[in-house]
Amino acid sequence: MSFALGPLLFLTPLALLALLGLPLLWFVLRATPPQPKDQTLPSFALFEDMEPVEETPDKTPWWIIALRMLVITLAIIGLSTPVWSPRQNAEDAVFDRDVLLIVDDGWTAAPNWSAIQNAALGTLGSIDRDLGVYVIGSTQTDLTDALADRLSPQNARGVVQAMRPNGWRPDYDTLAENLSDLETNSFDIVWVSDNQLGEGFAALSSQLTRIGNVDAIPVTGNDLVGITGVATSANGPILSLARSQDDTQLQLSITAYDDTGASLATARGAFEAGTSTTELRFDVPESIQTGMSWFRLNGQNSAGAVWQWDGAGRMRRVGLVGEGQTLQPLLSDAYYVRNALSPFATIVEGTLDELMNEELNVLILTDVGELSDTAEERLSAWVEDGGVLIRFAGPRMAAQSDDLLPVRLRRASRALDSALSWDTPQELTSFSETGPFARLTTTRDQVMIRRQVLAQPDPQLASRTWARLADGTPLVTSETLGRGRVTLFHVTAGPEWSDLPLAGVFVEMMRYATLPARELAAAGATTETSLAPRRWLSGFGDFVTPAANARPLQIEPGVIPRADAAHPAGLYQGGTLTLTLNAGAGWIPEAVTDWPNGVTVRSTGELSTTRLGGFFLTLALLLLLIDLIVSLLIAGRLRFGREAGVAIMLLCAGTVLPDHADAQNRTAREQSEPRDEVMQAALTLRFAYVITDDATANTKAEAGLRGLSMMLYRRTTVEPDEPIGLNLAEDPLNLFPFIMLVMPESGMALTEEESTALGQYLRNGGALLIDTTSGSGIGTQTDERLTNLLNGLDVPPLMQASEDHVLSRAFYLLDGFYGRYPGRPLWIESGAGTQRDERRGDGVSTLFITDADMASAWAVDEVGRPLYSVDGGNRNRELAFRTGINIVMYILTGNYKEDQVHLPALLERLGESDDDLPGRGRDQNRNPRDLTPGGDR
Amino acid sequence: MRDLNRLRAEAETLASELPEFSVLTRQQATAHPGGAPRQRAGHGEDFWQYRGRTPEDSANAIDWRRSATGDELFIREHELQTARQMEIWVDPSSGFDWTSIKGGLTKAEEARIILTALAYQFCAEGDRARVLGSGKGAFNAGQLIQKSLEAFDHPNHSDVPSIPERDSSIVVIASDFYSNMDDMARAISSAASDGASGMLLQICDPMEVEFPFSGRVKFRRPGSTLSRIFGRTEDLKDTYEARFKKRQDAVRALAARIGWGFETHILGNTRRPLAFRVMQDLAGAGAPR
Repeated sequence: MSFALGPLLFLTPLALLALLGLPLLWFVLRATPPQPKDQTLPSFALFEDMEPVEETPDKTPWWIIALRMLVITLAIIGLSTPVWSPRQNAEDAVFDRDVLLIVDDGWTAAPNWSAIQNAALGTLGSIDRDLGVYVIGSTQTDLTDALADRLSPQNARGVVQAMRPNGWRPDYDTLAENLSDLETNSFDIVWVSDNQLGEGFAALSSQLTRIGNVDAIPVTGNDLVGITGVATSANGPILSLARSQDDTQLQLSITAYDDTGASLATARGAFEAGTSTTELRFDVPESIQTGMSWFRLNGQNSAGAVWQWDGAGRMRRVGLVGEGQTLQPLLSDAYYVRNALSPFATIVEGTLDELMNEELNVLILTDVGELSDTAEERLSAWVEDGGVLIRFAGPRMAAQSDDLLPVRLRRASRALDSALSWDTPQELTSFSETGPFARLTTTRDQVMIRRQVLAQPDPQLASRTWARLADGTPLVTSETLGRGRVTLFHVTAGPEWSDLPLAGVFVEMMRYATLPARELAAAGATTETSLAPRRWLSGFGDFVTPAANARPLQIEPGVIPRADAAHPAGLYQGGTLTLTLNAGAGWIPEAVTDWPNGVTVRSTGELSTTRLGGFFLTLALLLLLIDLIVSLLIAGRLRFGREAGVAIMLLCAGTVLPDHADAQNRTAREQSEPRDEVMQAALTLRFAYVITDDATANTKAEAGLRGLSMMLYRRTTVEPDEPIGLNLAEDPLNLFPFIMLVMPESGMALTEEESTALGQYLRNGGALLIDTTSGSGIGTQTDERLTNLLNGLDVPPLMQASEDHVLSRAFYLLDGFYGRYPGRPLWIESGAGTQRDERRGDGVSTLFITDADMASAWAVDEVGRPLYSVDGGNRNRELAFRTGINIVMYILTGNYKEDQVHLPALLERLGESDDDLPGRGRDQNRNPRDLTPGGDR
Repeated sequence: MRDLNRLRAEAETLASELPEFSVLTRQQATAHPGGAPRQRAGHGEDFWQYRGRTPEDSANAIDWRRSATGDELFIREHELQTARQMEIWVDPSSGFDWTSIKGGLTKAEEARIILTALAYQFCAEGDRARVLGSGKGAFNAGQLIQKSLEAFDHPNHSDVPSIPERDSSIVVIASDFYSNMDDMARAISSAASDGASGMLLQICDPMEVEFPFSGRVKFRRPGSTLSRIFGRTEDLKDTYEARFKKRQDAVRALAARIGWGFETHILGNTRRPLAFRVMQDLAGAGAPR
């Protein structure tokens, strides 16, 4: 069916027959000249008698015909499905049997996945369409479906394109076993490999060579790096890394994330040239360490580049053998241990028997002298299995002890501060540099030890000692036992014997003492433990939700679970145990260097083919577009002004140059730059008003603020400059302490941007005075306009400013709030003055709403003459100014006037004696006519 | 269908922007006798009224027969008569009823608006206006705008204005003067020789003035099946402009020869300055030569 022309292969060669029609087309095209533009023109009458100046060509220019012929030729070639397959040795690479396409899709394939996919697709392209293809991912464990599905090469493309790398490594043994049913020499096999030598590689390759000719396409390219393990150190986790290629130096960084996916810390490191393993150390404080949940190797997108740090490293499950009820809980040892552990451990209390059934990291025994034989046996087994046992000494242990101790003890305690002793209490001075306490110091608090149990001298005593007293006697000793560890504090956990439980360093010591002996399954998994998958890692290292049919992970003793097809890398949770399976755990990178006999190794491009159909068709389409433009130009229907030309150039540039978007962003940013004059204006203190659509309201607001500023300037130390109008959406509101909004007659509504900006301003502590100017009306309790305006603004609950609110005496003593209309209520935030730390630190209201038309009362022209009449004449205007000054004072100074400090002075001025003091309600008795300024400013 | 309401609104707007248009103020002293009675005292043949003599009146003016019936002296006044009638004509050819501007007014509609507004202002003094070729009589100011706009659509419109042989009428002719130039010149000249005065108003489309073409264009005249293809129209522009100018000059020369005014208007320009110029030209028209 196919027809080859050198390396060019036509899969539907019959379409090429259409090329024979080209000459015919030549004549057709020649005969149809381009249509001229049709134009009606009355003044054509002036031309009717005119001889033609120039003979119009009635033929299409030859190059247009050539262009169109080229378009059609390209289209025909495109439709004949050309395939570019530059095979060097075409004979032995031609498939004549059904093809078994094996694609490595473990996580080790992820870094090169697109290359692997392309190699597989390329191979499919060169398979004759009559042959069948079976696509097998090497991580598959059940091949029934795959082997039943005989696909055409075309359909197989879809299957390959849908493949994704998985979060585990392929098990070649299983695969080889599954393939063993196939007959000998029944297939041609193409193995697109990630070039990693997995387990059972030899088995698989021998199995494959038995089945048929094997063409292997190893795909390498991007570095394959994985995290193979994490060790804990006092400074933070240490991650072990491995990589598949070791020829060059490679810089790396690893980021640690917490449970929510926020990055916590980054560590850097490098592979030296020639080495394939390295370690990266985090040096982070403990508090950050505890938050770390998983690590990701930056720049690597495979499951192996993600390491989930299981819970044991951070939160410990500690068992505390309880003492039953005690009458003096504050003196009980358990109390101090519990408190010391609480920052970082989950504590389970119970009897020893109960605790042994729990899944614990750490077990703490306080002053248990001698365990029963069975208990000791169980405990010792538990420790050997990875448990951490911490014991505290005490009178009972001093009397007699069992063997589950790091050191042998003397049969007595040493009293350092008793009546019969010459010794003085000893201080805890040094920590062993090899132990986990190496980073701790005791400089912060002096820890005195009054009594302790003593270890028998032993050559190994020094190496087992973690902490010493000033005279060198061990205070904390520790010894590994099996995979676990036993630690002994030579003092009680309570304060009877020492200050240690009271010292801050005790918490730190407990933290390090409870560090688990980091072995997997340390948590004491039992046979019955069944863990449900919580999240999986995809092959690319992304967290995905486990499949619906995911099976729980059964833990068997002694078997370290590994990520496999049934249990991909991810997080598994049981009742008390959380287990993470990491894809890279235990991974030893080993590239395939020796392909077995019978396997033909081919380079990526060798078998691959490129389909050129799309390319040809696109080219034809492009040329067709060019032809269209040229035709229109010739017909005179396309008139390019300079702008059009520039636009087209820009369009082309825009599609090509990536920073076109940048340019757009830049323009947008420039547009949102605040106006220069506003920035200039903000250099001095000035009030601002909101520019509305209503010019009258704007004028009024400006004149009003000008008047108020003038009065403030004359009478107070607030010396504002000329007011400025602000556009809410665009200007930086935060630069102005006080913004006034005079509502236009017709009302106004805020756009979303405007209310966002205004809300932001109010939250940041700005002050907004809204004047609805409608105070003259009677019964204007509800104002539609105000509702419209405040719609979308985050308005706190409001209340009327009471007569004794600090607003009424911030500067002047006022008995009401005045504007053009006297005695109108002033609404402020209801929280203001009561809840001091809300919104604004001082409890100062940020929002003032009035309908008294204050702006009109304040309004003056440039030379200071009042602009509007005011109810009640000049006296009322004066009161309005005082109201305004009080509002500004309140805004600028907060509510310090509310301090009781000033109350006596105020009361004195009001004619009240110092004797019947304060009480906020009392000053209502003052004479409301007294309007002299508060003199204590 | 033509949107008469729009035309009317435009015409009324234009009329309201124009000052009162009084050819008469200058002409009164030498007004042509006969023709339209003006319903006020002046030079005319018909009796108008008697009035008491004032010291300014000369003794010759006293109507002695009437005065003899009593002690008072009376002056006999005649009704003013003028033959002032405005004749307006808009080229009915389909080429004139055309515009290159999408949704814009055609040249003919523009002409109607301008002429109607002029006629309305002309008639405000009591004169009358008539739409030539419509077969309708003269209208006075009352319903002039509506009626004359309707009259323009009269089917009996001829290609060439048939100006009645009647002296001292004021004729305003709006056309593009692209075709029938000879016939039109003949008709206008003969009317002028009969004593009519007036205006030639050329209204053009911007496209006709600028000739903004390039490439191959097939030109066609509205109302004609004849079409012609030109290869490189951008080269044609100079020739076209020369011919356009030549035709315009021919019309201007014609107007100058017969002593009429001539104005050019391009669609899209404001009408008011043009209307003012026309009015100025007309104010001088009708003066005895």
